[in-house]
Amino acid sequence: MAATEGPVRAAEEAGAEKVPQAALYLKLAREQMDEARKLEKDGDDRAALVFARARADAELALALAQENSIADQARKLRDEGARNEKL
Amino acid sequence: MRNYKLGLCTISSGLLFGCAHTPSTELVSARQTYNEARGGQAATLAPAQLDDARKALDRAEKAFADHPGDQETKDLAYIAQRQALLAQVRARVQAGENAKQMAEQQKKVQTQDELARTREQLAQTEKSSAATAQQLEAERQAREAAEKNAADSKRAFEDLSKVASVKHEDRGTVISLPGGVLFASGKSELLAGAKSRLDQVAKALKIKTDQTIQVEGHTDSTGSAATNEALGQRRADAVKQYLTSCGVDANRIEALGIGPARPVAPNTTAEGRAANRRVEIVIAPEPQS
Repeated sequence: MAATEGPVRAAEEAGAEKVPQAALYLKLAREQMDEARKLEKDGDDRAALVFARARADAELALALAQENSIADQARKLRDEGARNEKL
Repeated sequence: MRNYKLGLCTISSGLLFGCAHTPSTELVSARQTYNEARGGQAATLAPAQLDDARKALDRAEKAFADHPGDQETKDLAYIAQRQALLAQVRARVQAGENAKQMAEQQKKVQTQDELARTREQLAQTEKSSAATAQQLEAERQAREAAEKNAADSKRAFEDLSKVASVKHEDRGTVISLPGGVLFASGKSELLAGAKSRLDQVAKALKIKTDQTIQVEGHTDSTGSAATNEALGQRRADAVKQYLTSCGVDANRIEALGIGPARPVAPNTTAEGRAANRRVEIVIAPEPQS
């Protein structure tokens, strides 16, 4: 479970909720974490796989948030460069 | 690298051996996403993540081969699909990082260019300031020289006014020396006493270097006009020659024999005739700047 919570928190901190696609995968990760917790509580063996699903979704949400942030930074730098060239 | 069209072969094999299981949508999606990732930039920009995706898909394919309809097979396919997607996104993140680095590099170059331009402008400004300071210094020196020249000139003319008449007229500054102190009667050779006076005249003339000078020889009306005019000319020439010998530029001086033509007093009295016998040195007005 801890291996899943880490990526979820990292995705939240990276601003996944503000990036529509990342937010979708983050939501899926949370839902599956809840489901996995229930399964774990019930002693269901499938819990580990559902945690793994949740982790995969959280990692994807994190990567999408990072992609968005880097694209923003690169765009700002390019715009700045274009403005400087005009001067 | 393994091609996940192999999955379809697995299905075909399954059919041959009487196993007719259809892959789940999760597995189909996982295969498709993996193939897209492998064919895109993930192979070069996110190879480690692509390898993880392949391993995840291998596990899903094995589970499908072993237990085609199990929930575990679907879960593994789901995870494999996400891993393949993650490989694609990580590749785009890396591409973004590369673009960012390029933009940063470009910005650095621009900043360096800008710095170089600023330095150049500063150097130009300093050069210009130095030139201005030099010009101001030259102007200051010129002003000082002009002031000194004016003071020297004033002093020289004050000294001169003690031995000659100095008047300011429209035609310029007129220094008038009585003929009796310069020449013997009817002669054009300078008397010994004349030279000390002409030395002072020369001193004043050398200060005012820009103006032209006329040396005029005037006489009284005794005798013929032609004789007096010739005498006036010879006397003017003698004065010019002496001034030139004192260092006054000969090209500035014009010697004119006026004779009795411009008396300053009646020629009917001895005093009047003495006043008319004179040499006038006319310094032209200063040129207008």
